[in-house]
Amino acid sequence: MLLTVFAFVVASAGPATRALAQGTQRVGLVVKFSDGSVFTDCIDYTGPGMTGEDVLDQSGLSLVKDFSYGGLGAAICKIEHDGCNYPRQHCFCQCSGNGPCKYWAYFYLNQQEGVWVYSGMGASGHTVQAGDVEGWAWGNGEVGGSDVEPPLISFEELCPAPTATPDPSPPVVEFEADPGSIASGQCSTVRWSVKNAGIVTLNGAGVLPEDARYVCPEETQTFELIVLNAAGEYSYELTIEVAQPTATPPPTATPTAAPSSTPGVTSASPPSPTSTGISVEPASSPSAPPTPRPTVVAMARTATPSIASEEETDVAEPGDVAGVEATNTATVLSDPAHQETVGMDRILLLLGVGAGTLGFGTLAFIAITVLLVLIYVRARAQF
Amino acid sequence: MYHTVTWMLWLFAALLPAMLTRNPLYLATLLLAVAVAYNTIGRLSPMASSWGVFLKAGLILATLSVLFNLLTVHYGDTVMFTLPRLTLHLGRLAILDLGGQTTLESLAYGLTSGLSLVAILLIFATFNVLVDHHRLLRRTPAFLYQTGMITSIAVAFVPQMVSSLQEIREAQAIRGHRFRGIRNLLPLFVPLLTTGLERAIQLAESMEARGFGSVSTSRSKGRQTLQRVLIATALFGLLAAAFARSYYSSVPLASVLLALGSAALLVGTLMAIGRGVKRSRYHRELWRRRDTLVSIACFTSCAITAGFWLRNPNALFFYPYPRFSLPDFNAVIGLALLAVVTPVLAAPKMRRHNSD
Repeated sequence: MLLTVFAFVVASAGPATRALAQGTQRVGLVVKFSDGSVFTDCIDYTGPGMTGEDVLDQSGLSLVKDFSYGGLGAAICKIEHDGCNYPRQHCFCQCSGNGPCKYWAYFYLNQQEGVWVYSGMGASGHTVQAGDVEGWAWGNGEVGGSDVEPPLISFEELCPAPTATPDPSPPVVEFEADPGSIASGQCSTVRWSVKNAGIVTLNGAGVLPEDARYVCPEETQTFELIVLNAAGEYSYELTIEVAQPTATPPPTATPTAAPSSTPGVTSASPPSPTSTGISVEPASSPSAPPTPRPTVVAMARTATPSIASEEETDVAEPGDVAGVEATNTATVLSDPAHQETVGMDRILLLLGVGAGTLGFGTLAFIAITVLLVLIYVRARAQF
Repeated sequence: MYHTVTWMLWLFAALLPAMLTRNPLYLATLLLAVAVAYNTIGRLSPMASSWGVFLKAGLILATLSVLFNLLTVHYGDTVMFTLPRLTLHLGRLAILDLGGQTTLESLAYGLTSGLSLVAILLIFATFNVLVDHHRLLRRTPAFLYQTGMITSIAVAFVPQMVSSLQEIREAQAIRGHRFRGIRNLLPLFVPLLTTGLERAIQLAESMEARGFGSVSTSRSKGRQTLQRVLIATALFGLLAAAFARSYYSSVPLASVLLALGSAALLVGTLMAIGRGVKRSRYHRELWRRRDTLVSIACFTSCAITAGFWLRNPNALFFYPYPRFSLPDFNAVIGLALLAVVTPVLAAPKMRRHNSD
């Protein structure tokens, strides 16, 4: 609340500071947590219109935001472990007007004077420029001199000029899945660690040089890690094999279809900087001739005729209903005395199926709405 | 038809969920229940025709809320379409940021806010139509008599104006006047203005004739001044107590004592003023069995809503960001909302247009 209230107190944002390092378009970020630990990052500048909130988003820190202020923008409730769990708690839960008032105070660095300036506006309303430094600190924030300022770190320290590494060396990449093959419905962790990294993307999305993703693919999936640095662009592929539950390939199928259960760890430094599309297979894959993956999967599918019937039973409700109804009609034919109970069964079954597909809440809502309409129709004639 | 206290309880039972919940399903149920109450018992009132105006006003408010939210909020994962973005900057401060990514979440949030506004508006509209203003006025505490009188006149003003607007419109239409543009509205507003002024003068004269605003002889000038000073002191004491509670929380007892003392002083003074106002009663309202039934239903509904709000606030909450999911619906809360239609169910059997 304070943050948004103060948004109208200070309106000027100081002179636009440009500390553009040659050829770099970046923004520095300093985050100070309640335990005194400090997170720093150097974020790529995405262009005019980039806001302080975008900078925080791209840092990869876990955030909880409150969007209920409408056009005022988002309020930052929590960064990593510090803050309030909106919407279970109020976004500024530690600032109730009675006693200490702690929240994520938002600053930007005045680089000419070397001081943090408490931002007069929320992070969504504050646009940044390349070379700016943004600061966040958890504690009692105040306009004009706050006791929880983030430590003073200059842009040059946060985002050192890339000329510091003169010789372009190819990246050193570790890209692995643990486990490398799973059954359908299970999950795996994809880890990567890139040294000498410039820009790292995983399946087209920008990621940190060293991170992991927890994935639960339904089908065999290939992950592509592209590393772009001064030495060139490098591509690495990792495939997670997903075994379909009952679809055991017959022995005559290609042996490569049987996935390995040990994680594939690869440490690769490609020979030529211009080479792209280097495929890194899991290390423990058999020494069989490298069959293209999609074909293997397709073969495994066609090799098992049981898949079709299995899918049919997997669809569950509609099929089940038909099945149960069929048995019910059979009972009716053999024993007409049970007709009434069968009718009840059918209603219960329909209710069950309805509750299953719509959810009990939606059913209750529909029931209450129908009840209200009935009351209206009855009362309308009366009054 | 019902006791005024019953209607006040009804208002509370309808307003409490409307204020507490942000869940569109509960709000929709509540809205439907209020609409049922209005279109059944509400039609017995001569002011019932103002429904359409309230509904229109509510829909305009809701549309504005949805549009405002859609255009200014760009959060949410489900992007429906992208509009051209218009941003106005004042230095580095983005003072206006319209368009851009339009998300399903911002639509859901805008709709929920709009629904909440419409629900509150229609609850008051229905209460206005259902309750007898003169009886309501008689229920106000003695010291509030003058304020209550003025409030009840103000509350009755809008429906009265709407009905006289319709009358004038009909009369002009019979004379062959057609309302096409803004210029044609003049023959509508001039009579409305004169009728309004006439009514105001009539009201003032009749109130004066009944001795409204006259000071009773028992209250001397000095006593009046003393009462005013005491009220001001008590209010200042309450303010000081609130201030002390916020800024000197280390000594909680002092603020509590100050608040209690000030409140006692305020109540005492107001009661002393109220004793000076004498009101006669010609007609005593009857508390019937149906009043008991409706009151019990309303009270239970309030208890259930308040219970959920205190124990499990998540059940009442709905927050579409960052990714939209359908809101939950708890059947217990849904049933509690049905208390709003109990006056319809418990009403005595009657023929059409035959008011109690």
